[in-house]
Amino acid sequence: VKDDVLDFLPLNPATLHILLALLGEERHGYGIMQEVERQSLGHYKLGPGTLYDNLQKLLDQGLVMECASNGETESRRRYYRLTALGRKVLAADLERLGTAVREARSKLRNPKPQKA
Amino acid sequence: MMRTLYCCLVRLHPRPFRERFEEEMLCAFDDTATKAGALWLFWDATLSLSRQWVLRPQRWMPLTKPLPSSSNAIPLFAIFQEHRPHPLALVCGGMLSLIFFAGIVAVAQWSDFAGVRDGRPVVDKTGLRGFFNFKLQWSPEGLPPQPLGPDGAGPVAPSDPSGQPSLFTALQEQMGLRLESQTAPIEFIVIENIERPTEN
Repeated sequence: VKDDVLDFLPLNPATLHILLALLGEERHGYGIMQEVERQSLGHYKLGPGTLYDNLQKLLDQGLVMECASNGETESRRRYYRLTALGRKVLAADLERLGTAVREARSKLRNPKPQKA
Repeated sequence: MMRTLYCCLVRLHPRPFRERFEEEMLCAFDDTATKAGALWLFWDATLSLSRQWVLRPQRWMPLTKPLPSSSNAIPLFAIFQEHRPHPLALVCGGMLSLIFFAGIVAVAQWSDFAGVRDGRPVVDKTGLRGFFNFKLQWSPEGLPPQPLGPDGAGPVAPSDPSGQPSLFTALQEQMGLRLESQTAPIEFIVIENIERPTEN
């Protein structure tokens, strides 16, 4: 498992949304799909294939870990949560995106005159 | 049937992935299929299948013994083929995924056209023989059970916002054929008994 958060950046959209969905609380797969749809106001939908493909990568990288089910008796569902490393990586990527957004807003407010 | 097909797609994934996530993927499919539409889920699983085989080499079967090296220290790459997919298999796997998905789309489209979706086969009573090229413009909106027309003929055309007529109206107006809902004898196979073959 890599320790340097910069090695994980930039996160792809699916990974970013999965980590964001797990930021508040631990969730199972379908819960992550619903949370991603809610957070993106329905503009970004994750299918089970994309979700578990990325989830497996995140588990291998140590950004997400499986945890005991939240008192739910349904054995088919597994719950996942962010690790400390996952939280750091997410924070770093949000900082990167924040910088890009600030830069873009600044340029949109004060566009340089174009050369003829 | 859709669930069985989806299960087949999941089982085409590499074994480590399948063993870990098969149950959860099927669980998510059950939760999502009615809401999101099964076709989108098939497309998503097809992409996942391609990604798993092509972009996730660490998921392939691990080597059970160290790679032998040849006398000139250049690795014997052929040994990989015993443990990991042959490169050609990856190409074939990708093509198989696309063909599988295209097949599902074709079946869905055809079942819309032939009325098989509501379990009603179409019996040809035109008496026409041969093959014909034709272009038919119609909308699948509102195809499931509709009221019959006043003379017992095909269903009344629904008012489709896209402006396209229903299949029944399009067939009549554009080709002069009429699709009628009737009770009629059709050929089908009845399996009355199955027995294991006896030795000669």
